[in-house]
Amino acid sequence: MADVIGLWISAILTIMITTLAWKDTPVSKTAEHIYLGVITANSIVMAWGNIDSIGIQKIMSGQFLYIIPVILGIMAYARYSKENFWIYRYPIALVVGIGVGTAMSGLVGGSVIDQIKSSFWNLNVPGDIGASLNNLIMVVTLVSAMMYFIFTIKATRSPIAIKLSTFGRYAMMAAFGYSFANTIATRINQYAGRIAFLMLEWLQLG
Amino acid sequence: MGENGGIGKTLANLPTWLYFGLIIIAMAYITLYPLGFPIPISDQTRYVYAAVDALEPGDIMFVDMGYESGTIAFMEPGMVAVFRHAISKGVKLVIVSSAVESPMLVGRLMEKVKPEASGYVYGEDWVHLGYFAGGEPAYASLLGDINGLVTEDYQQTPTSELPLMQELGTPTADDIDLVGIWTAGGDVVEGWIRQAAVKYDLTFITEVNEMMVPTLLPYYPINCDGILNGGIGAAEYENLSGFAGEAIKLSDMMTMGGLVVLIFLILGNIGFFMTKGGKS
Repeated sequence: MADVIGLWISAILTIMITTLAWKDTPVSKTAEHIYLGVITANSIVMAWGNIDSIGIQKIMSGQFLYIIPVILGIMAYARYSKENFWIYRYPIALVVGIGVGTAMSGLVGGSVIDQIKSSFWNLNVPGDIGASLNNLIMVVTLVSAMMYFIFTIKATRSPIAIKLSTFGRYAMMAAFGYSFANTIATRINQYAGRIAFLMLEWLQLG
Repeated sequence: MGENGGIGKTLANLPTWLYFGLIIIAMAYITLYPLGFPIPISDQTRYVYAAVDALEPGDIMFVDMGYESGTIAFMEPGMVAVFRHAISKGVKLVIVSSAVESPMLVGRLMEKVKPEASGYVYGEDWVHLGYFAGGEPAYASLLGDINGLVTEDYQQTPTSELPLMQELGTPTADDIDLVGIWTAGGDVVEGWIRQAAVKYDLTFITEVNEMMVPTLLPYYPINCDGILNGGIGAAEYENLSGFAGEAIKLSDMMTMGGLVVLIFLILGNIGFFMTKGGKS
C-alpha cells in the first residue's frame, strides 16, 4: 500500500512540476516547495547525524579533543550577530585554510604538470592516419587557443599570429558549443527518466 | 521582407510550451514504440569497463555515491551496471556519500543490484558508510585513515564490527584498488582526482552528467582513467558489459529528445537569419 501511495505522490508531483513548461504556476511552485522542504529536512537530519557521531559521541567516550571542532562550529553561528560577526571569521578562516592546503597538494601535479604532459601528442601514429590527424588538430587548437590570450600579439600585428588567434577563438566557440549541447543532453536525460516513470511505472503502458 | 519576414519572425519566436510539449510527446511516444537507435561505444566508456574488468576477486572498489534525486535517471543505471560488473568479478564495495540526499538512494540502488544474489554479505563484501561532510579535506581523510574518520555505518553499526572495514588500514588508499565517483557536483570529481589519482595514483573512474564532461576532459585519461558520460555513457556501459538495464531503455528517448531540440535549433536559426537578426 505504501508503495502505491508513493507511486501516486511521485507521479502527481512530476506532473505538477511539468506545468512549468507552460508557465510558472502555483501548481509548479507547490511541487518545487515540497521538494525543497523534504531536502532541507533531510539535510538537517544528516547534519545532526554528523555532529552526533563525529562530535558528541566522541566527546562522551572521553575523546575530549573533539570539543574543539564543536566549539568552532558554534562560533560559525556568530555570523547572525552584528556585534559578534568577527568571531565567525575564525572558523571560516580555518576551513578555507585547510581546504586550500589540501587542494594544493594535488593541484600542481593534477591541474598543471599532468595536463601539460598530456598535451604532448604524437603527430605521426604509425598506421593510423586518423589518430595522427586528430592529434594534429589537438596541437593546433591548443596553440591557437593559447595565442588568443596572448594580448601582445595584437600589438605586433603579425598576420600568422593574428590568424592563429582568430582560429583559437573559433576553436573555443566550438568547445563552448559542445558544452552547451551537453547541457541540453543532461536536461533531456533528467526528464526522460520522469517520462519513463510516468509511462512505464505509473500508467504501466509499456 | 514581407512574407519571409513574417515566417522568420514566427520561427524565431516559437512559444516555449510548443517545444517543451513536442519534446514530451516525442519522448512519451518512443517509450511505447522504441526504435532501437544504435549505441556506439566511446573510448571513455571502454576505459571505465577495462578498469572494472581488470579487478581481481577480493579487490576493493571505493565508491562515492554523490548524486541526488534530480539526476537519478541516468546516474543510477550507470552505477547499477558498474556494480553488477564489479560483483560478477568478486570485487568488494565500500560506499560513501558526499551528498546529503544520496544515502537515502543507496537502498533502492542495491535493490536493483541485488548483491545477495551473488552471495554478497553486508559488512563482509560491501558496506555503506553514509554521508560525510567536509569536501576535499574529508576525501583526503577517507583515503588516509577511513576508520579514524568513520566510526559507524549508515545503519549506525560500529565499523569495528564490519569485517570489510578491518581490511582497510592506514593509509586506506593502499588497500583500495579502484575509485569510482558518481556525482553531479562540479568540484567533487576534481577534488577526488587530486586526492585519489594524483596523490595516491589510484585508478580512477567516474560518471558525471553530460554538462560536466567538458570540464573533466583535461584530466582524461592521465588522471581520470575513464568517464561515463551521463545517460549516454550508462547506456554504452550496459551495452558493453552485457548487464542491460534502464539506460538502454532510456537511450531512445534521449536520442529522440535531442533530435526534437535539434530541429527547433535549426528552425530558430532560420528564423533568426530571415529577420533583422541575420542582417545585423
